[in-house]
Amino acid sequence: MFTTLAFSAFVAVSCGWIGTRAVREHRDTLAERRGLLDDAAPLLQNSKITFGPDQFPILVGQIGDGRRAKIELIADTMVTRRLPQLWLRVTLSEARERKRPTIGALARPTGAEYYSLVHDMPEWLSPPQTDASLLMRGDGQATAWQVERVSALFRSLFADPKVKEAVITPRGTRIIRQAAQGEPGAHKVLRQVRFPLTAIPADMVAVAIAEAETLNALLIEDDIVAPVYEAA
Amino acid sequence: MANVTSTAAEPERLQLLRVLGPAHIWALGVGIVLVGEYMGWNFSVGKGGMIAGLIACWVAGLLYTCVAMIDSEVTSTVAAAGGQYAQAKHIVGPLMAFNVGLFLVMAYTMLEAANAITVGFLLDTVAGLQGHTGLNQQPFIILAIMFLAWLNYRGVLATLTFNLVITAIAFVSIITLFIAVQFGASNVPLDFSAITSDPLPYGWVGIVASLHFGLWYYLGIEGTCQAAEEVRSPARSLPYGTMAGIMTLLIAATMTWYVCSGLIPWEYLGQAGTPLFDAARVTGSTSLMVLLFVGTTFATLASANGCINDASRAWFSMGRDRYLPSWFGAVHPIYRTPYRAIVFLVPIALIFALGAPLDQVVTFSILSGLLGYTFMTFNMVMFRNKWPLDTIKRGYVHPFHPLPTIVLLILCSTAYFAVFLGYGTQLSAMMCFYIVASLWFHFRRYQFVRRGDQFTMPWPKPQGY
Repeated sequence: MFTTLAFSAFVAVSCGWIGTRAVREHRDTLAERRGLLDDAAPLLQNSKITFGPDQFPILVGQIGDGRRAKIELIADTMVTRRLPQLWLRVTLSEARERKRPTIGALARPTGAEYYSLVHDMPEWLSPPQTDASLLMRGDGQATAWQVERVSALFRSLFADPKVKEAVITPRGTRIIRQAAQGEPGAHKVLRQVRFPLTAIPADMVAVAIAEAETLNALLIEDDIVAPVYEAA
Repeated sequence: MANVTSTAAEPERLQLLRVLGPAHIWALGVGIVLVGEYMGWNFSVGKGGMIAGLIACWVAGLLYTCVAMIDSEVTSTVAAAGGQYAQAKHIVGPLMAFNVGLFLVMAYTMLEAANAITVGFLLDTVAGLQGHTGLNQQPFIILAIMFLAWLNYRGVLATLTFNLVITAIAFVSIITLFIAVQFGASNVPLDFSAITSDPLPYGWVGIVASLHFGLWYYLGIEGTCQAAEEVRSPARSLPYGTMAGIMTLLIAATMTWYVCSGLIPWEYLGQAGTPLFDAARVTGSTSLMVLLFVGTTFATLASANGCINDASRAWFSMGRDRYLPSWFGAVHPIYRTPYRAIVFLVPIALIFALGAPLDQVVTFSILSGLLGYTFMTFNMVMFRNKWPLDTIKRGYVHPFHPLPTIVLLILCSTAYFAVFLGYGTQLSAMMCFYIVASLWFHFRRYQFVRRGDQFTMPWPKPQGY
């Protein structure tokens, strides 16, 4: 009888401890997420931080020329036999739609990149030669000259292994970079998603914004240059 | 100026929270496979006796060494993460990738079912010890699977400390039992007389028959070396990490065999649902029983949790690649989990957990794993033939090619024969399932696959094409 009572008490206390601890730690982790983009907020004018349903912050503001910038964080756990990835997604939106095609490239594609725009583009393009595997696609509107220019930029951009995706569309540009990689121990044992940082460095966000601006500047002068080039 | 509405802003923050040493991570990597020590392996003793069980354990260690060598070379070269599934896409083709994806899903889902059965059996045993015989296991099996599926659906987080506690208890339980028995804490002395009196009760064929359950000790160890896709770890850490894990498991497996075979008659051990817990019961020590109860529970639940995660991700990837209806490739808008894949696989796990005995479920899981290892043999040959060593840069080149491939193929063939000896019907049923699934993929599903997206590596054209 005593053994039964002692064992039952042990099980009850253990379950209670585990449950309480799990709930508390889950809440703490969600709270920790909310401050990840605080350091980057001063990079934008009129910046405002809101929170996604997964409690990752979304930073919205304007860059120097008044264009709207949106900075998001995406936790990606969708690929087996790979550590979880925290992606930094920077989107620069145009005030008006530009006359340019949609072209994008995705590094080391697995097919599971649900956050990617490239997978939804209809036409497959031959990617530039880089160390990483690249999937390059477009909407079929690009001229050979435009593809060549974009390929040259992608070649240098994807030389950095942290760049995951780069996209140019008439409505803006987007860059996705690796912000952090999940802790191996936590993931291997219980498939948990723990990123070993409490703030995304402002420098990292600044680099991503600069890359998005470079992408944007690439096809801006198309209206003037492209016809001359193609006529030649 | 910035209009920050965050409520979590703090003046100073530590950028790196925790730093784990290599040994730490190595131990954690082994943790997920540790469940193999707690249940399933002992059916090898039932098939061939005590000696056969030990030989099966060591031969399976050799098989996994070959797996580690081969897998490391391909993984360190095929940069895309995703393991064997991604390798099949790049080296063989969509039909093979579809099958490898199914192997993964089935192996993990069956392992999840086996874990749930063990939890139910363990609770039944403990209830019986407390005087409540005849406990209905089914509600606990359903509860375990549904609860873990819910955790995965929600993407619930836990701390590293919490993870470490669970793994440490599972590890320490085995070592404590071993030491306690060595120092005379057991009421029953270790008895190995059956080794001399009845060494091979079914002859040499018993050793062959026991081989496939020997795989259970290590099943999935190759998955513990994960590709850090974007900024990869040194390529040599892949084979060394896996082989260090295999050596650890080899020692743990031998210790487990030693304690269990010494305390429990092999005829009973060969059919036990929870051999380590049963060994603790034989010692008569309440503390050891509680420790092994907790160790078994944690090991099985942690393993089942990992299985749900991995199986659903593999199913999700196949949906995204359109190998399966793309409906399965959806991500939950709030929790960012592959929720449709998780929910879809729950009834499959339940059917097997509630409708099949543990040894058969374990066999189904082992068979799917075995098919994956067989794929690795001809995948390796094709890889070396299509892209010889001087044509593409490899992170790691395994030595003595093609010896490990040949050894692996021989061991896999022997394991198939072992399955045929004891579970011929299950072997035939599973082969039929994969053949029918392949026909469906070839004649119906393949038209939806985006063929241009399948091969993305910047490699030269393969030789012979």
